[in-house]
Amino acid sequence: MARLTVCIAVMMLLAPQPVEAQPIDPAPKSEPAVNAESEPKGPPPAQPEITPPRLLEFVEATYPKSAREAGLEAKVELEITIGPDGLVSDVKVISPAGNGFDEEALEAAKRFRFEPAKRGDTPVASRIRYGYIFEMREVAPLQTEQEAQAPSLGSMEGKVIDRDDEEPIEKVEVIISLNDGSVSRRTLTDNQGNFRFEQLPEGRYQVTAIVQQYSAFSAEEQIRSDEVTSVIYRLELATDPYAFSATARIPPPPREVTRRTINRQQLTRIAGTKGDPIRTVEVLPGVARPPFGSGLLIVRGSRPGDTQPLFEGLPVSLLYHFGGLTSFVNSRLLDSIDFYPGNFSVRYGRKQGGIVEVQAAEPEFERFHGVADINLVDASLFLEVPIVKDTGVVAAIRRSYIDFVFESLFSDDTFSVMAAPVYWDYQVMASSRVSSRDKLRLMAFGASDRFEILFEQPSGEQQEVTGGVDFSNLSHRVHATWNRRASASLDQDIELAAGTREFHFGFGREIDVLFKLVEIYGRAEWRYRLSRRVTVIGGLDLLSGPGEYSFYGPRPDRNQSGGPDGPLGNNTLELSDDFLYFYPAVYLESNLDLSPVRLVLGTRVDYFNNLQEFAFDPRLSAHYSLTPEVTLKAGVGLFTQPPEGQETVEEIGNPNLKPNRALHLSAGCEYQVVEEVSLGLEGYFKYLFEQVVPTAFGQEPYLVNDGIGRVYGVELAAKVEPSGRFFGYLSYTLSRSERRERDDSWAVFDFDQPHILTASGTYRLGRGWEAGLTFRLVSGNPYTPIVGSSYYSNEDRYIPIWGDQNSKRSRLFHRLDLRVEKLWTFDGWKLAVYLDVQNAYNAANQEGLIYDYRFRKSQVLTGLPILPVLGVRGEI
Amino acid sequence: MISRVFAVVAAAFFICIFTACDIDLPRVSEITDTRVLGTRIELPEDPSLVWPIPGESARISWKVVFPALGASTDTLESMFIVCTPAPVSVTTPLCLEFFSLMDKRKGAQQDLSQLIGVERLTCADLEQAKRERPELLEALPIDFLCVEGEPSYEIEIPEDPAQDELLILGILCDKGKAFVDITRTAFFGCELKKGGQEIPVVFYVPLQDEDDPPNHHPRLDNAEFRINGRAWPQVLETDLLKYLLDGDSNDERFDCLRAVDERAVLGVAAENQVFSLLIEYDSLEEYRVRGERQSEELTIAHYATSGKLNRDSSIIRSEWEVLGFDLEWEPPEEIPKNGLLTRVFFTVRDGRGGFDSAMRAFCVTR
Repeated sequence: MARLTVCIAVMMLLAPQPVEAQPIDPAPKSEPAVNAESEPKGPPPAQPEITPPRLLEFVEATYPKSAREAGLEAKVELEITIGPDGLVSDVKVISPAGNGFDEEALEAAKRFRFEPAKRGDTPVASRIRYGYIFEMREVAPLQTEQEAQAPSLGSMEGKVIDRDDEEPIEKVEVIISLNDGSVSRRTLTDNQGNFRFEQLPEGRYQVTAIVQQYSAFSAEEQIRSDEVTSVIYRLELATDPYAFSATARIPPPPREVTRRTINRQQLTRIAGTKGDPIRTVEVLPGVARPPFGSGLLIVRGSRPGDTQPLFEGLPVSLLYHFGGLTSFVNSRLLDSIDFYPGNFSVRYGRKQGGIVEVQAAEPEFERFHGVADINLVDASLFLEVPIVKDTGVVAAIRRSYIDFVFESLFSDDTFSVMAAPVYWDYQVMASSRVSSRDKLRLMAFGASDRFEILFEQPSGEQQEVTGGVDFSNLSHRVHATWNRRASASLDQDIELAAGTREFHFGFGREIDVLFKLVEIYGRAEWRYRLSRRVTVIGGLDLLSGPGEYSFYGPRPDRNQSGGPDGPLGNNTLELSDDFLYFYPAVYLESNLDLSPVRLVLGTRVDYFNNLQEFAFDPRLSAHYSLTPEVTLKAGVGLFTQPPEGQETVEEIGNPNLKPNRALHLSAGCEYQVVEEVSLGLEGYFKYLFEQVVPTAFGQEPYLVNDGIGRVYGVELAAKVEPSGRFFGYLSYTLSRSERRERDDSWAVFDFDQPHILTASGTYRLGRGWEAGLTFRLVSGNPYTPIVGSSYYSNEDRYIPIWGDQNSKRSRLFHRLDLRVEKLWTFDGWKLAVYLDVQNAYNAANQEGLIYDYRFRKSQVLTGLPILPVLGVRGEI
Repeated sequence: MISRVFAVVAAAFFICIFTACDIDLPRVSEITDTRVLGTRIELPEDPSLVWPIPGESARISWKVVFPALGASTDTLESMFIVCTPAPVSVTTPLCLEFFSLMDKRKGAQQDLSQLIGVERLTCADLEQAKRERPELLEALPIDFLCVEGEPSYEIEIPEDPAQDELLILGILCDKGKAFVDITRTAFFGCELKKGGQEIPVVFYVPLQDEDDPPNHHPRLDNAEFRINGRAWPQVLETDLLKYLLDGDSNDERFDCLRAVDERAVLGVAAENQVFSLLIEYDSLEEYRVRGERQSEELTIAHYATSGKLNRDSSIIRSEWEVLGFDLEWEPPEEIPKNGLLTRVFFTVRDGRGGFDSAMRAFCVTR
């Protein structure tokens, strides 16, 4: 690791920061005190001008060892008394910071040397306020332009402009440093992007230009005596022009075999996602293509419900509006997405597939920021507001207007009543660094989807939908997080969340499902560094809450032959009940750094109150750094997932079910080809056991733990990080996922996709233009053919007769998505217009088969046709 | 599951939005081949009653229609079994008696052919077995019933049924021989001749509970049918045949204009027609579910031998002021010079086993 800490003190004297300089006048009667913040009253007396003191010699304080190890930073407010000789005669601490900072700051400040304050030309004693800042940065101390009064022979002038549109950039901090370090100055560009340094000693200088939203710029310049060196610096927008956070995140050592991270610079720029960040997960290896419009996450051959989406560590049940249209959280709020396709840490539980963790970004603490986004589907507004120092608030709101389009598509007499489809969501987050050790974050978010159509008469060919279709989903959550650095070796995270969820689904007069739930979630985690090589992590997590449901409709079909697992049975069922689920867990993990080997040993114990079952999941992962560029890795572990709630309801399920279990094995290697390019190869095997499956012919008790499964495959991934003009992914997955129910023969899994090839790239063309494409080539999903049908006379409809389970497969899927964006930068705001074209060459991909009323004739049901989405985004 | 249901509904919705315009499959309301439209239960003492009484008999009649006028049920051969429905939660109904044929340890089916010595049993085989080896059939837990011609037969209701309903599984073979083969997923099949057709069928027979008042069939015989406001009287197929089959040549054979002239059927122009149906209030019975009074909701399915109906079924609810509905019919593009006879079939179900049917006809002229 690079040198970790360098302490700097940023001198506040004579800098733009507020500073007080007060001469100590031995003759107060004749010489009024000077205070930079005081306003003279009446006409100024004819008095000699007072010149404040200037720091000539800065002394760097020692960074307190314990504070450095704990990663603490601080600011110590000092009051320094300077004698007429320029030496420090007294120093007092005005605002202590503790942790050894005060003593070190005092010690250093005593050795400062100043050019004394002057009244006219006469040196006088003075007293100043001085903020000694301890920061963990690798930046050399700076001097302001004013203070650099050393004899100079040359000067430099320049202009800073945008590389794309050549517009001047104001308030760029330009720092010039002589290569031997003896001179260092800074200034800011004016509103025309101009800057100037005077009286520079001859020599070679390092010049750096820094401003938010642009990549830092550096150049070496030669300054010659009696010459003016003129330069134009063209700054390039940072890879993500909307990345406002200045927080550098250093990923902690891995606690799992594979973590694939998509960071903020990539989240909204991948073609085919409509700028939707969560959809970007679909370009990663191991993720199967979900059926069109479903938004399902199918990871390494697992069922969609086997993978847990988390938002800021909080389990969420639905990532997308209307199942897959767009994600429920504003993209500007997000910082990164971590995807764990298997063998994840014991921190995560209750799932046997994978984990997708969506991370929110820190609010902007420095300035106001807003984004308005309008496209053909919805409109959203995002605001980022600093409140006080180290405290900011982010708020986002979005509403769809598909309802307006929908209503114009259908005549009024088509439906008796129609509402929606409408979705909306909101997120509000406040974050505060309450101290150097503590950070608090409060968040509230919610989402709603609603769709309702009522028919007076049955619709066209579907007599089952007599009465209409309606579904709604409404959720609200509040979430509080407290991160504390308790000591140099102990970190503590505490999270609490509560929320409600209400789901209603009605299908004609046949089905009515209502589900209400209060969700309570808590987590406490402690990370203790026992030594340089050993870290121990312990944690508790709890998922709990009361709920109630009512169900009216046909008995769920437990068709053994791969038929729909939906409410299509023959017997009407009416159920209602309330319940309380209580799922506590405790986990312990030790990270052993035995360089070049790193081992993570973990154990998790879960309890499921409705099953009255404990689960014990030991897990191990190992990384071996073969060379600095090549890492070998492997993992093994057990994973437990409780049955879904309705599966333990006696009338339709089995209250005596046990949890589903899975064994994950994986091994692979990672190769960092160059700084921006990495390759990965990983093989995996999953053995699923005690899986919940239906009984033969759906006899009581309907469900049993008699299913097993096996999933195996190889994933190849190449990634180009977004450090330059280009970033992209190339991934290929070769896999097989199979299931066996009871003593039946093996059958491929519903979403088994042996070949998944995804290539995605985004290129910054310049002058505000950016273009990207994503191409996918994926095996078709298997399906169970219908080999006949019976006329069900009671209901005047036909019942399908299924063939062998998943014995047929849909056609190969292929699709190309394109994205083009043009960004204009104006004074203080930006405007972007983007075009996202999904299925650019209009491939007719098979999503399934649709049958005639008696299942004799079928027609391929194709998915998304070419879909261009045009949008406009404004930002201040 | 909720997430999945939500996702499936959403996916279906968006697929429909994007692709519905491409779907071109046969519609249930178009009668293009032999079809079963429903099943009527009749009790010997009172044919208006629906629910058979345990220990007594009931007549089961399958309503079969053909696309061609004059086609008869003589070409049909059917095979049925009447059994106790198994308490299963799969869409394919199963007989409880089947489970006695299974090895429960393995959950696998034991081959019926081992019991009866052959893999496939036709009606003729069963008849022969009944005569020559009756003990073989007696070993089977289910009785097979073969019917030639019109599929209408009597069944005996057990004195003490295991469930509150019976299950009838079977097959109707038009121009073919029915057989049973337990190795087939469909269980039944037909040895079809050219142009033949097989129709596997399922019907649950609800049984009279002594605590419940009896249920009556809904009625269409006293319903009012109209075309574009004109009264639309019932006509018998035999009357239609009388007028239509009098011609000497094939070209004149289906001269429905003649039927119009004789006032046997209505004549209508080849343009969209509005059918209206009004039923009597007494067709909607009241009943109680767990002490709560409810009224029947009638489902009326409609079928036409030509043209297109704007929907395949309609409903009638008791709370409506007018117990009826309108339905739009679109004529086919090609109309023969002698007119196009179109028969329209209506069936009504009360959702509790009650069933009735009616037919109307009209002649479309150019």
